[in-house]
Amino acid sequence: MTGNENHEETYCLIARCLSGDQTAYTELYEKFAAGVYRLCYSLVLNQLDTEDVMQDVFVYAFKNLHRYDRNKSAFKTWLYTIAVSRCRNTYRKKRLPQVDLTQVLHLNLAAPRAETPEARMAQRSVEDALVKALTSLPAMLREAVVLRYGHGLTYREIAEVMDCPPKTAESRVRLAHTHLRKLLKPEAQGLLEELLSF
Amino acid sequence: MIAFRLRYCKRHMVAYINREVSPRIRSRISRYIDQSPACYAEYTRQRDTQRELIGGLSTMGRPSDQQLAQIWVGIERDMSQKSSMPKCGMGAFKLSYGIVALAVLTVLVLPLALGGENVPTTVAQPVLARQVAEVTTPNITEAVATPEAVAVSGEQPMTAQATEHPVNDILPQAAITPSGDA
Repeated sequence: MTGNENHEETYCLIARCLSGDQTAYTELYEKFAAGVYRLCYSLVLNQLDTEDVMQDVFVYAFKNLHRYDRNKSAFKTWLYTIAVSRCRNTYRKKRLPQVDLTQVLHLNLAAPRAETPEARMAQRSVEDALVKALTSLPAMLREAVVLRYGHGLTYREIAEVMDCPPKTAESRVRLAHTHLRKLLKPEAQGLLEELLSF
Repeated sequence: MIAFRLRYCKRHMVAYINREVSPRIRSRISRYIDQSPACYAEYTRQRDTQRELIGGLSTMGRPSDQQLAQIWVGIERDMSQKSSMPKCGMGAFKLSYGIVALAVLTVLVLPLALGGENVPTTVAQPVLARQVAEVTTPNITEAVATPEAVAVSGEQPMTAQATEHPVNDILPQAAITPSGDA
């Protein structure tokens, strides 16, 4: 399905929701839930908080669906804007701890090529390392890099979600990139490539 | 020169890898990467980091179907609670509050709506009482003025009739002029 067809399908779902079709809400949720969940998890880095934020995001979005204007932004961008806003409230309240990354990311595990429990464990270790690396980033940089590399948003879309100029979004991605590059060890890089090649 | 090239590469490398630079900058960085080992090392480092980030972030936090279903149950519950207004509770409270406000307004406005006759002039009465008092109790000094003094001053003596004006006919000006011009 092309991008335009995808957008049209979304707009049809929105129109059905606004006309009172309850099944359309379910379909809309199923279409975007996984992406929103991954985004929220990448920002708040906690499963329980992620579930709370997710619920909050979709309830708000469904209640305010009449306010969405397709001429201003794509529905995904609009939804992600709500999600980022809710995540910011959460980690402002919780104040995520800053982890000392000099003690982490010393990964030297052998990654078997087959899908084995050891491979899954290694993958989880890499994910944990990435979570810790993201925790060390300031919130703005974390948001920028997650939106860019985790969800493939353009700088214009990132700017819209984060409510900043596109150039600012670009520099935040670059700064996050630089920051994380110092923290991700070569061993972890090679390990991740092996895991992703399964 | 080498330091300048490396600084230039570092500034634009992320955008270069993502093909987000102008043709002029792209050409320049490509040349630096070819000519400078330091720039080439910077390119490979940034490229590998980006690959790792993309790979890690695209899989991180992937929810299970069960998790999503559980969240959906919570969303449905929230939506159904907020969409239906309960008969008693906040809605009823607002309704009774409105009725009370309407009743108070009616009590205040009704006397005015009925007209002025039955309106107790609780504010005006003291003024009227004062006016009556001033008319019924004339200035003693003038009342006892001798006819000769009055004739000299040119004032008309106050007669009893002047004090017998009904309350309704008393004009505010009459109280001010003890000469009885009212």
